[in-house]
Amino acid sequence: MVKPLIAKQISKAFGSEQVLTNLHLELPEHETVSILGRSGCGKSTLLKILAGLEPPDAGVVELDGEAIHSSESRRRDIVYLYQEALLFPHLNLFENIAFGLRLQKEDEKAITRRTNEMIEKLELDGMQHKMPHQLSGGQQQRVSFGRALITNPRVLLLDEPFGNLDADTRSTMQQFFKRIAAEVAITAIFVTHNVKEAILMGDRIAQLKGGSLTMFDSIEAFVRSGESSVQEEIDFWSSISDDNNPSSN
Amino acid sequence: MKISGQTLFSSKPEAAGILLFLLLTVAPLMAGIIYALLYSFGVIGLMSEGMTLAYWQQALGRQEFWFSLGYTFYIALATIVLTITGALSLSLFLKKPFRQGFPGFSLYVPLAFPAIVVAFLVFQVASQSGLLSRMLWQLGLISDSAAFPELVNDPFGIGIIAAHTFMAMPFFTLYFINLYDGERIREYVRVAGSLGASRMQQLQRVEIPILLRRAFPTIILYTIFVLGSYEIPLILGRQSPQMMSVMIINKLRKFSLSTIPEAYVAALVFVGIIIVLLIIIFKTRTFSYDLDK
Amino acid sequence: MTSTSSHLTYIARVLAVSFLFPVAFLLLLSVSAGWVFPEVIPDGLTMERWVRLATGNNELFGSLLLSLGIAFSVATISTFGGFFTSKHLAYHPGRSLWMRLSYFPFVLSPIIYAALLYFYFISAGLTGNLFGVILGQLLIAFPYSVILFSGFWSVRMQNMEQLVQTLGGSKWQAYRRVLLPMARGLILVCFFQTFLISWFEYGLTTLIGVGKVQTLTLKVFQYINEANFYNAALSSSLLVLPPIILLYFNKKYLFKKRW
Repeated sequence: MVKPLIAKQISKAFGSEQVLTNLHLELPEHETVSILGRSGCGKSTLLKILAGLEPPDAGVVELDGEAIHSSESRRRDIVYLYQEALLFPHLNLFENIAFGLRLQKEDEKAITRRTNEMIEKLELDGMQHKMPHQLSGGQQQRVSFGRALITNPRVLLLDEPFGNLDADTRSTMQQFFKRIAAEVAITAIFVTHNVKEAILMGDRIAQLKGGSLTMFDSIEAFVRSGESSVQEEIDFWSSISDDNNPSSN
Repeated sequence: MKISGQTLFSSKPEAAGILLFLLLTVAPLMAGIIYALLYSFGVIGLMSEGMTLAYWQQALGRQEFWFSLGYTFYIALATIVLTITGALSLSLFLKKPFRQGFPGFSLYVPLAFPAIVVAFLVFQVASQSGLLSRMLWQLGLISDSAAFPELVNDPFGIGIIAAHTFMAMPFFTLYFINLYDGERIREYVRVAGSLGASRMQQLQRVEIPILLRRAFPTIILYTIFVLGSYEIPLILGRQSPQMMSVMIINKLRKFSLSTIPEAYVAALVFVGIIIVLLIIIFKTRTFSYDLDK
Repeated sequence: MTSTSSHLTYIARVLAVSFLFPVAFLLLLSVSAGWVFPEVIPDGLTMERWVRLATGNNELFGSLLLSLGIAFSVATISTFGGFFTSKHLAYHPGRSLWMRLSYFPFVLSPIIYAALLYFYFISAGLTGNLFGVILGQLLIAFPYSVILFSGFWSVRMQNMEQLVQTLGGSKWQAYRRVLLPMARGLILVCFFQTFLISWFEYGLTTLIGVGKVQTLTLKVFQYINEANFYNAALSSSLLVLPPIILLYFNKKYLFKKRW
C-alpha cells in the first residue's frame, strides 16, 4: 500500500545554517505521527516544505506515490495549521469554517449542511454568529480544526497547535483532537516540543534532531532509546514515590 | 520568527512592485539631487563654464543665506515649542471633554485646512485691517488701523508662527490623546501613585516623559514639514528675512541667471538638513514604520 | 470634583469654538456684500457668488471640478499602487532600506522637490498640463501610501495568505476574501489622506503646472493677490467643506488602530 506522504532526502538551509539534512519521512495512512524536537530545530520548516509553502533546497515530496515537490501548495490537499488559530477576523464562526467550501464553490445548501455538521462535531453549536474575538483560545483552535477538516484534506499538518493555551484548555483540546482524529480516520503530523504531548497525541513518535528525523516503531522503543528524558523522569518519580510512600499505589 | 527568506526577486509580481517603487520614489529623488548638484557645481546650466566651487562660495558667503536658514529654524522651533506645550496641556488636562462630542469633533476641523487657507485666515484676522484690529477700533483702543501692531508681514514672523501652530496643535492634541490610551499611561500613573508620587510628580516623571519619548519621531517629522513650509510664509512673510522655501523659489525665478545655481545650493543644503534629521529619527529606538496617524 | 470637571468642559467648549470659528468666518466672508475696516460685521449679505458658482457661471466651478478630478486620480492610483507595492517591499529582505527611502520624498517640501525635478518635467513636455501635475503629486502621495500600508503587511498577514493557499484558494481568492476585507479600513484612510494631499497641494502644482492648471488652491492665491477677499473666502470654503464633511463621517477610522 502506498503511503500517503513520503519525503525523501529533504535538505534546507537558511543562509549559513543547515536546518534540514537529507531528511527522510514516511507517513502511514490514518495515523498521527508526533514529531518531537526542541524549538527552532526546523520542525516548522519541515512542515512548510511538506505543505508546499517553502521550497526545499534538495529532495522530493510524494503524495500517494506522485512527486509533488514543485506543485503549488493549493493543489496538494495538505493543510498546514499554525500555532495561532489565525481565524479570519472579519468573518464569523460559521463563515470561517465554511471558508474552504466556499473556495471550491460548493452549492449553498451543501455548504450550510456540512458546516453545521462540523460545528456540532466541534461542540460549538449555537455559536455560529460569534466573531473570532469573542471566542476563547480553545474555541478558536476548534474552529481552526473544523476549518481545515471540512475540506477533507489528505494530510493535516499541525504546528504546535496547543502551545498558546493554558494547561487545562490544553488537555481538553488534546482529548478533543484524539477523538476527532479517530472519528475521521485522519492522517496527520503533530509537531511539539513537549514529550508528554507527543506521546499522548501520536500513534507513533519521531524525533527531529540535528536536521534529520528518527522514527520509532513504538512508544516503548522511543522511551528505551535514551534519546528522550522520559526514562529519567520515570526513574525520578518512582524514586520519590518509593521513598515517601512505600505502601501507596 | 522572521519573515520567510526569499531570494532577491522570487516572482514577477514582486519584481514589478519593487520596480514601481524605485520608479516613483527613488529614481526621481536621485535624479533631482543629481541635477541640483551638477547645476550648483557649474557642470550644467545656462551659464555653465565647467566645474567650479564659485557658486557654493557665493551662496554660502551671503548673509541672506544664513539669515534665512536661521530664521527658518527659529520659526520651526517656536512653532514646535508652542504646539507641544499647548497639545500636552490640552491632552493631559482636558482629555475627557476633548474625547467626545462637540469639542472632540472640533479638534478635527483644523485638519481640514490647507496651509494657504490658514495663511489667508491669519491675514484676515491679524493684519492691520483685520478682524482683531477692527474690534480694538470699536472698543476705542486704537484710532487708526496703522496703530494696530504689525502681526503679519512682520520681522518676528508672529503671523507665520500663529498659522503653523493653528494647524499643528489640534493634530498633536489628537495624537497625544491616542498615545495616552495606546501606551497605557494611565496604568503607569497608577503604579507611580502607589509608589508615593504626587499628582505633579506623576505628570513630570511619568506622563510627560513617556508621551514625549514616544512622540519624538513624529515631532521631528513635523518639524521637517514646518522647515519646508512655503504657502504660509509666502502670504504672511516679508522680503527679508525669508523662510528657505520662499527664498529658493524666488532665486529660481529671478531674471538674473547667476542666482539660479545659488538657489540649487540652498536647495541642496536644505535636502542635507532633512537627511540628517531623518537619520536622527531612524536611530531612535521608539521608531516604527507604522504611521500612527 | 464636579465643579472642576464642568470648569474644564467649559474651557474645552470655548476652545472648540475657536477651532470652529475659522469655518464660520470664511462662510460669512464669502457671503458678504461688503466688509471693510472698521466694521466687525459685514455690511450686508449676498448669496450671489454662491449662486453664480452653482450655475456653473464661474471660473471657480471649473477649478472645483479640476481639483476633484486630480485629487480623485491621485488618491486612486497611489492607494492601490501603494497597497500592492507595499506588500512586496514589506516581505523583501531589504524592507527597512525601502521604508527609509520612502520617508524622504514624503517629508521633502513638495515645491522644493518640484524645483529639483523641473528640468526633467520640461524635457518630457510635462509642464503646464494636467498629466504632469498628477504625476508630480503622485511623487509625494505614493510614498505616503507605501509607508501607511507597511504596517499592514506583517508575518501574521503572510501566514493568513498562506493559510488560504493550503485551504485550496488561489491568489485572487486570497485577496478578494481575506486580504482586501481586512485592509478595508486602512484603504479608506489611505484614500482619504492621499486625496487631501492632492486637494490641498499648492506649491508643486504651481511650479509644474506653470500656473496653467488652475486648481482651487491656485484660485485662492490668485484672489488674495488681487485683494478680492470675498472670492478668496468662497474658494477657501470650497476647499475646506468637503474634508470637514468627510471627517465627520470618517473620524472613527482616522486615529484608531485597524484589525
